[in-house]
Amino acid sequence: MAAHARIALDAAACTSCMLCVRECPTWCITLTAHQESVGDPGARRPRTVNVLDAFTIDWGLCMYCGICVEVCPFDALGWRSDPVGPASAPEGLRHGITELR
Amino acid sequence: MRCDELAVAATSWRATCAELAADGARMLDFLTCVDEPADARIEVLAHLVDVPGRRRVLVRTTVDRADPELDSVVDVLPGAAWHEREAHEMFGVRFTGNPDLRPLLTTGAMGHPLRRTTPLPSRVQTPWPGASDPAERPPEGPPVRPGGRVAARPRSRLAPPGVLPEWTPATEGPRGAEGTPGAEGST
Repeated sequence: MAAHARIALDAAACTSCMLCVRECPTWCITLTAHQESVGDPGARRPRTVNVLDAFTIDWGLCMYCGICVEVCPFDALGWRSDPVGPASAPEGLRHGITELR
Repeated sequence: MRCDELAVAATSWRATCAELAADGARMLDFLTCVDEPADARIEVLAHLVDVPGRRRVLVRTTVDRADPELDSVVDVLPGAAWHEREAHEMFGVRFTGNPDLRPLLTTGAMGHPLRRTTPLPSRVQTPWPGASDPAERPPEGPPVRPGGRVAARPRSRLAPPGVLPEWTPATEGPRGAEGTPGAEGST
């Protein structure tokens, strides 16, 4: 079991359901996504899927409670054992999809 | 370790704590409050531990939220002084008999921060990240059928938990608010 040093995002598993963002007690997660219609010629109505554009965790606000990991229905968020590195400015602690892998 | 719970009336709060302390539960683990605005009351809790007797007691009582007053237990449990001072600052409960109820952290200007109705300035100023909804953005890509239209599903706006609607400025209130103040007053 990984130590609770940081939270990682599996962007491919994320459905942009916003549950983690809305449950976060410190409001440290931001997520932007848009909807795309999936071409299915036989469908009577167009089906839409959410496409993740950006996902950010602000480690300066995060208190590592793990509620986001708990609520994620698709296990897109999980714990990792490598800690978050230092930053020289607050902006450096806002990690996006690539840093959260 | 066994833990007993004891709900007492506010009038017998001090006597109960004194009795338990005399009975061996002399270690005050914590004394704190829970704000219950829906019931217009504040619950006060004290957790006492009898270390040699291996016994814990959680004493609870309720006080009126509009005028919260309770007898201090500092004379029987001296360690309660700091906890009562903190509870007074955070919840506004007056502990009669505690000689020092000076605030520990705040200046008193923002009210009692741990009462659920006290506005939290940073929560009012910061936009809630959970307000954005992927479904509100127009979908990209061609419609499946000619003339087919992908309607953005209107969803009820979710409110951030713990942030009361009356904290937000009136300019962001519901539409048609111009007519409501008069209508509210006349019933």
